Amino acid sequence: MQPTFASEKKSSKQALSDLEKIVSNEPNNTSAYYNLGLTYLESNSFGKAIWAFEKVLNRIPNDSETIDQIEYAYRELNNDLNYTPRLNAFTSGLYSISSNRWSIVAIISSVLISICIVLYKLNDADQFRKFILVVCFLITLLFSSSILLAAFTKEYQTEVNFGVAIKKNVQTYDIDSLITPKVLLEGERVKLLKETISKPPHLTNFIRVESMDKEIVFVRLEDIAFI
Amino acid sequence: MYKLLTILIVILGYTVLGQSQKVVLSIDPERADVGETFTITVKSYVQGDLEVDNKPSSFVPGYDIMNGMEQEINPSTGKVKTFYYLSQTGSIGEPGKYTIGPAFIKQGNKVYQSNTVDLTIEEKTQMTEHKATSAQINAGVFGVIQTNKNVIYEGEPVLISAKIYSHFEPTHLSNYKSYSIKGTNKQAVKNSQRIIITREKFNQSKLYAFEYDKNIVFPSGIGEFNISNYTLDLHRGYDGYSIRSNQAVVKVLPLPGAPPTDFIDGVGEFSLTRTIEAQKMKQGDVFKMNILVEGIGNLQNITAPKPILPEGLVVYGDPIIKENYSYNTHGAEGSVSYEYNIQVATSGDIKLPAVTISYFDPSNKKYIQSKSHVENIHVKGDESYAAQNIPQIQTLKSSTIEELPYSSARREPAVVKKERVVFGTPLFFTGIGLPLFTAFIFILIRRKKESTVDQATQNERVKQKITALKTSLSRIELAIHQNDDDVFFMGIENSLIKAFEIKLDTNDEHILNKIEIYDHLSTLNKTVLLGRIRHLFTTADQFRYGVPSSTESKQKLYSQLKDILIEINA
Repeated sequence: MQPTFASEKKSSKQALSDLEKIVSNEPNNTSAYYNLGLTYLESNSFGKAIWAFEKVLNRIPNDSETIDQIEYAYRELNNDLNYTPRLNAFTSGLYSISSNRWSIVAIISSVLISICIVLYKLNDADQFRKFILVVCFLITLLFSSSILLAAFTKEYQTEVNFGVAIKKNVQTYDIDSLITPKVLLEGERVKLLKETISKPPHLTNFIRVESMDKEIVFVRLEDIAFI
Repeated sequence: MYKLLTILIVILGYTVLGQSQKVVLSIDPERADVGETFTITVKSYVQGDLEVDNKPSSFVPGYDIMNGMEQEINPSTGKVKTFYYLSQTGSIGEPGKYTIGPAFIKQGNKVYQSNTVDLTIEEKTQMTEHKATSAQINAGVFGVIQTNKNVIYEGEPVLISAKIYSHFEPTHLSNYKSYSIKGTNKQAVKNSQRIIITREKFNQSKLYAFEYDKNIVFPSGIGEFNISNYTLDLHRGYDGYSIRSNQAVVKVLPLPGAPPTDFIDGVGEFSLTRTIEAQKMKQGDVFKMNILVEGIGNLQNITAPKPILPEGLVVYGDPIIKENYSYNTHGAEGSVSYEYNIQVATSGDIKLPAVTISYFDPSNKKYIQSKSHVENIHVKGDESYAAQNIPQIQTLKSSTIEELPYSSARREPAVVKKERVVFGTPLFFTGIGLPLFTAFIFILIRRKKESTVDQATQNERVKQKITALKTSLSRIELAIHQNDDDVFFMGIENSLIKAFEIKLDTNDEHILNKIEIYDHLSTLNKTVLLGRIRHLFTTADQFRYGVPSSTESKQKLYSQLKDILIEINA
C-alpha cells in the first residue's frame, strides 16, 4: 500500500486511518511514519507525533528534518521537557547505514582478507609481504567493526527498547500497583526494562520503565507507544 | 421600518438580558446527606434587606453566619464593582429534593430577586467504624477511622472520616494530624472541619462523639490500601488528652470482565447528552458538536467519548474539554463537556448516529451503556467547495504554516520492500566464512605443494650425491689398475665425505670436513666406527704424503672403505 498525501486528497481522519494501516503493514516505511507524525501534529496529538517521528529515527537516526519535528512537538507541549536524541551525532551516522549494508561490508572485507592471505603466500618479496600485512590488518579492523555495527544496528532497528508517553500526565505505579508521585509527561521517552522476575497477576497490563530522570516505575500498557 | 424595529428589539433584548444579575443565590454543596452541613450564600450588588424564600421546615440553621462587602474588578472593562454577601450554614433532617430561593433584596421601594437552587438531600451515608482496641476504649477518650465501604471497585471512591469518642464534652481539639493512604487522590468534603457533637452509645456506654476530617478518596490501582492512623489532642478546658486512632484497610477490586469498547473509565452513574450547533449548514462548513457527560463517581478521571461519524464528516483536533464538578460524599459530581469541531465535506441529509458511552455501576456490579439521540442534519451542496476539492485541513495548514519553523511538507511515498535482515542468518555466515575458508584451504594446499617440492629437491640432491659417490668409487677402482696414487687417495677421502653428506643430508653449498664427521660419530657414540674411519683417513694421508704403497695395500684400503660405506648405509 502506498502512503498518500493525506492533506491534499483526504480528510485528516481518513488520512490518519490510512497511514496507520500502512505502517502496520509496512513497519519499515519511514515516509509513512513521517507523514503520520505530521498528521498527528496537525491534530495536536503531540505525544503520538513524537512516537511516529521516533519510529522514523529508528531507521534513519541522523534524519535532521525528523529531529526538528520532534523538537517542535516538544516546544508545543511546553512541559519543560527537553528533547535529547537517543544517539549522538557520530553513532547516529553509523547507525543510519542499515544492518544489511554493514553485513555486505563485512562479507567484502572477508573476501579482501582472503585475497591478502593468498597474495602473501604467493609472494616471497619481503617489502611486498610487509605491505600486504599492513593492508590485511586494516581490512581486519574494518571486518570486525562492520560485524559489530551490523549486530548493533540490527538490535537498534528491531529491538523495542523505548516507548513514548502518548497521554497527558501518565500515572505511574509501584510494584503493589499503588500510584506513585512520579507522573510521565506527554511525549516523555521511557526506557523499557526487561522483567527479571515474573510479574504479579495484578500487573499484567503494566510495564516496568525507566523515566528520563532515571526513576523506575510501572505504567499501564495503553499509556505508552513502543518505539 | 421592519428592519429598524428588529434592530431596536435586539438592542433592547441585549440591554435587558446582558445585564448581570443583581442578586445571586448559591448553595455549596448542592447534594448533601441528611444532617450534613451545607452553606447558603447570597451575593448582591445592591444593599438592602435580605430574605430567602422556600427554606424547608426541616432546615436547621448552623451557627456560622458570615457577611461582608468585597470589591471586584472586571478584567475586560477595568470597572470596580462592590458586592455584598451573606452566607449561612445549615442542614436538613429529611431526605428529598428541595428548591431553595429565590432570595430577595429590598432596597427602598425596589425588590431585587435572585435565582433558585435545587438541593438534593440524601439518606445519611452509613459509615462503618473500624475496630478500636480495648485499651483505647478503656481510656474513655479514643478515635476510630470510619469508611462508607470496606471493599470497592477500581475507580470507585470511598468516604473516610475520623470519629472521636470521649466521656466528657470536649471544648476544642489541637495538633490534628490527618490519616493518609498511599497512592490515592484525597479530596476534602465540604464543611468537613466543622464539629457537631452528639451523644452516642458505644459498647453500653453513652459517650460524646463527633466526626472530623471527612474526605472522599479515589484509590488508584487495585489491592489492599492501608489507612494510617491519625493523632490529635482533645481538650476540655485546660485538660488535654492525646488520641491515636487505629489503622484501617480498604480493599480495591479490579473491574470485572472485559470493558465495552465505548468504556470511558467511569465508575459511578453517568448520563450523556449531545447537542449540535445547527441542523442546517452548507458543504464545507464547520460546526460544533457538544457531548456532555453528567453524573457522579470518578468524573475527574473519565476519558473523552469517541463519537462515530458518517463518511464525509471530519473531526479536527482533540475536543475542547470543560470540567464543572465538585466533590461530595459520593464522589465527583457535575459534568464534563467535550466540544468537537466537525467539518462537513459532503452534502445531503446526513444522519448522525447516537453517541454511546459505557461506565461501570458498582452498586449493580455491571457495565451500563448510555446513549444520545440520533440527530439529522441537512447539508446544502456548495459547487465552489466541491470544485476546489481541498478539504479544510489544507486551509488550516496554510494558516498555520507560518508558525511552523520548518517544512511541514509530506514526504514522497516510497515503495518499501519487506527487508530481511541478513545479519546472523546462514547467508551472512556463509558470506563471511566462505572466503576465509577458501584462503585457509589455499594455505593448506600451498603448504602441501611446497613440502612436495622440497622433498623432490632433496631426493634429487641425494640422487646426485649417490651418483657422485658411485663415480668416485669407479675412479678409485680405475686408479688401482692405473696405479695413480693421487687419484686413489683423493678418491678414498672424497668418497667417505660424500657418503656422510648423503647420510647427513647436507645441502649443496656445505662441504663436510673430517672434523665434522668425527664430531657426528662421537655424538652418536660410535667409537669403533669412528676409530676405523679415523684409521682410514690417516692411512690414506700417510700413503699420499710419502709412505710407499702397494696394490695390495690399496686394495685393502678400498675394501675397508666399502665396509664402512656398507655400515653407514650410504
